[in-house]
Amino acid sequence: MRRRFQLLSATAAFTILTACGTNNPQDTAAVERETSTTELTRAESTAAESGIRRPSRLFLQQISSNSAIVKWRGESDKSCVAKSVEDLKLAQMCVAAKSTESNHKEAGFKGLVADTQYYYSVGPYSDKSLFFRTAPETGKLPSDNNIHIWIIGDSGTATEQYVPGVFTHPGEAKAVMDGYLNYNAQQNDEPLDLLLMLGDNAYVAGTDDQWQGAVFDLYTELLGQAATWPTIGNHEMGMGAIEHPEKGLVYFPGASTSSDPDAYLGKKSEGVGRIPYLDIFTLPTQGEVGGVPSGNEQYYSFNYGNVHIVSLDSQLTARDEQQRAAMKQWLVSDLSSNNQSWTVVIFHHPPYTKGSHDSDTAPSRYLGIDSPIVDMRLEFTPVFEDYGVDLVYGGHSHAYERSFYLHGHTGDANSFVAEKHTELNAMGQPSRGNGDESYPQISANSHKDDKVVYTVAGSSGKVSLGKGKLDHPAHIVQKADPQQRHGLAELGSVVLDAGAAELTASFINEKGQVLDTVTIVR
Amino acid sequence: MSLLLVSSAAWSHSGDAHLLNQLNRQLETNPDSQQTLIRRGSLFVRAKKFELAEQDFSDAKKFGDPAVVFLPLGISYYESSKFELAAEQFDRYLKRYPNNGAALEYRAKAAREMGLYSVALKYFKTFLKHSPYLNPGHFLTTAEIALIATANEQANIDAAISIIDSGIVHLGINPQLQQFAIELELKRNQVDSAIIRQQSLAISTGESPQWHLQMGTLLLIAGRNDDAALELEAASDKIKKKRRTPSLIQLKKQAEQLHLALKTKQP
Repeated sequence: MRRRFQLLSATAAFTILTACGTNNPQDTAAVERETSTTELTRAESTAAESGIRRPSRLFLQQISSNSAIVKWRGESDKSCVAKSVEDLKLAQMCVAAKSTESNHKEAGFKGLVADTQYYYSVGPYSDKSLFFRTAPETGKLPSDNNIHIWIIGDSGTATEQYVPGVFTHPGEAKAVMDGYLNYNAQQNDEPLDLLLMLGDNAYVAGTDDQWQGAVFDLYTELLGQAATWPTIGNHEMGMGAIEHPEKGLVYFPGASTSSDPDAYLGKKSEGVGRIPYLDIFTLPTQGEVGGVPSGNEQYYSFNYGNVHIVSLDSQLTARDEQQRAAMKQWLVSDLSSNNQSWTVVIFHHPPYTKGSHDSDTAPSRYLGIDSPIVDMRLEFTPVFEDYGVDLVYGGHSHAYERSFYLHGHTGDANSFVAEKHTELNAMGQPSRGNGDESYPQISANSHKDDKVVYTVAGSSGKVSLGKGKLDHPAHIVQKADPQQRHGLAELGSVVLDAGAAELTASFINEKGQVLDTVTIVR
Repeated sequence: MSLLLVSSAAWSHSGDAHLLNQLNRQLETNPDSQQTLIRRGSLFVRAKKFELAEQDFSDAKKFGDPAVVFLPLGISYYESSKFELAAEQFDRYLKRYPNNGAALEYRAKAAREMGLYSVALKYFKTFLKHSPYLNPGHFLTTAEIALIATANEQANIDAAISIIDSGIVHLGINPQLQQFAIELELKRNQVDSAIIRQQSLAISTGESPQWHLQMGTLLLIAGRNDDAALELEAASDKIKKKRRTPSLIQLKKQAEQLHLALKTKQP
C-alpha cells in the first residue's frame, strides 16, 4: 500500500504559517477571506483552530510523472511542495501562483520525481491531508503495481434544485462517495490515482456556485489528493441559450444545443458568458501529460503509467459537424500514437442506453438535445474499435448499463445481433466479461484487438429511468437487478483498476457492494 | 398571441414540460412580456415548431425593443432552412451588435447555405477575430469556405493556408490543422513545405508508425527515395511492436503500398 486517505482528526491538525515565508497578519486575514461561509469540512475546521483555513476551492490538475498543478481560489499567492511534511517547512520548492479565469490561482510544479509522494501547501495553509503522488513513468506501473481510478457520472445532485430550497436528491451523491470509500476501505484503502468525471457533475446548470456545492464542497479531500479529469455534460452548459448581450433568454438547464462555449447561460441575471467548466479546470491542450495536442481544452488526452485516457466533448464539439470531424481526426492521430497497455475513453452522451435517455435514433434526434448520442455512435465507435480502445464510459442516463465486448454495432437497439456484434464464448453465447469469461484484449473470435466495452455510469448522484426500461440488448443482463434487466437502477460509481495484465472495472453501489465487474486481460 | 398547440406530454426532456407550463402561466398573467415571449419562442424553435416560434417572436417585437428579437428570429429562420430571411435578421442584429459571436457565426453559415461563399468567408473571419474561445474546428470551417470563396483556385488555397496558420499561431500545433495544411501544400505543389509541416508533428505524435508512413509518402513525392525508405523501415519496425488492431492491419497495407511505390520509383 502506498498511501491512505487521511481524514484529519483534531489532534492531527497541521498548519505551517512560516512554510512559505509568510506569517504576515494581512496574509492570514486574506486566507480567512478565502473560506466560504458554508459548513466547514473536517480539514477546514481543524485548521481553523489555528486560525488559518483551507482555501474554499483546492484541487489538483494534470499530475504527470514529473509535474503537477495545484489550483485554488483565494488570495494566497504561492504554493510549495516537499517530499515530507518536515521538508515543507523549508519551502525549498515553491512556485508563485498564476492568476487564471474566474479568480482562480494555480501553481505549476515541474521537475518532480516519478511515482513519488509530495506534500504541498497553499500560501500559509497546509495540513497532513494535502499530498499527491506523481504518476509513474509513462508505460510503467506505480510501486503497488495498480492504477486505481474512480469514475463518477451525473454526480452533481448536491446542488440540484428545480424549486429554490427544495433539493431533489439530498445526500445521494455523498452516499455514493461513502459507498466508494467503504469499498476502498475493504481493499486496504488502495490510494486513488485519478478521478474521472463523466459530466453533469454540478446540477442544475453548471454555475460556479453549483460546482462549489456539488464538487468542491463534497469531494474536498479526494480532490486534494488525486488529479481530476472531467468531460462536459449537458448540465455543464447551463440553460438552453439564444444569446443576447443585454437580455438573457432562458430555456431550461441541461437543454442547450449550442456548440459554442461562450453561449453559456447560467442565470438570467448573469447574461451570456463562457461556460464555467472551462474557467474552473486547467486541461491539457498541447499534450502536456502525454497524448497528442488537441489545441483546445474541450477534448484532450493524457497518459498515466500504462493507461491512456481520452476525454471527448460530446456536448459542444459534437454538435457542430466540422468541429466534430476535427475532433475525430485528432482522435485518430491520438490513438495512432498511443502505445499504452490500456485505453479508456470518456464522454457524456452514451452510444447505447435505454435508461432515462434512449439511444435509438428517433428519440435522440427528436429535440436535438440528445443528437450527440447518435453522432458519437455512428462516427466514433468505429474509431474506438479500430484503434484499440478497451473501455468507453458515458453518463447522461441515470442508471448503470454495461455492454458486452462489442464490435460494429452502430445501429439502433433492434439491429443488435449478439452473434455478430459481441465476443462469443465457447458455447457460442455472448461472453459476459467476468468470472471465467474475462475478455481477452485480442479477441479470441477475430484474433484482433477490435472490441470495446461501453458503460453508462450516470447514477453517481441520482437514479431515474423516465420511460426507460433498461432493455438495451447490447448491455448484459445484470444478475443483481431484481427484474433481471440489462442494467441496474442503483446509485453507484465505477472503480477501475489497471495492472500489467488485467484491467478490471467494478460498479460499486452506495453501500460499498460490488454489483458488476468486467475484466479485460492481455 | 399564439395559441399553445403543443401538449406538454410531447416533450421528452423532463424539464421541458415544466418550463413550457411555467412560461404559459407567466404569459397568462403578463401577456405583454417580451422576454417571456422570446423564451417560449426559442423553446418552440428547439422543438422545431417554427410557426409557433415565429408567432411568438412577431408578438415579442410589439412589446419592446424589436432589435432584441432579430437574433432568435434569425435562428428560427435558419433552423427552418429559410436562409435569406435568416440572413436579413442577422444583418439587422449585427448592425446593433457588430461583434456578437453567435450572430456572426450564424450569419456566416446562412451565407454558406445560400452559396454565397465570399460573404460567408467574410463573416467567418470576423467571427474568428471576435470570438474569445476558438477550436481547431472553427479554423477548419473557415479554411474550407476559403477554398471555394473565389474562382481563383490558387488564391483560395493560399487564403486557406493563411487561415490555418493563424489557427496554429492561436492554438499551437495540432494534427487537425497541420494535416489539413499539408493537404493544401500538396495541392499548391509545395511538397517541401508539406515535409516541414509533417516534421512539426513528430514530437507530438511520438513519431508513430502512421507519422513515419505519412512522412515517407511525402518524401517519395519529393523524390527523396532513400529518406522515404528510412521512414518506411522505421514504420515497419514500430508496426511489429504494436497490438494487432484493425487500424494496424490497415497501416501494414499502407506500408506495403509505400514499399511497392519505392521499388517502382527506385532507379
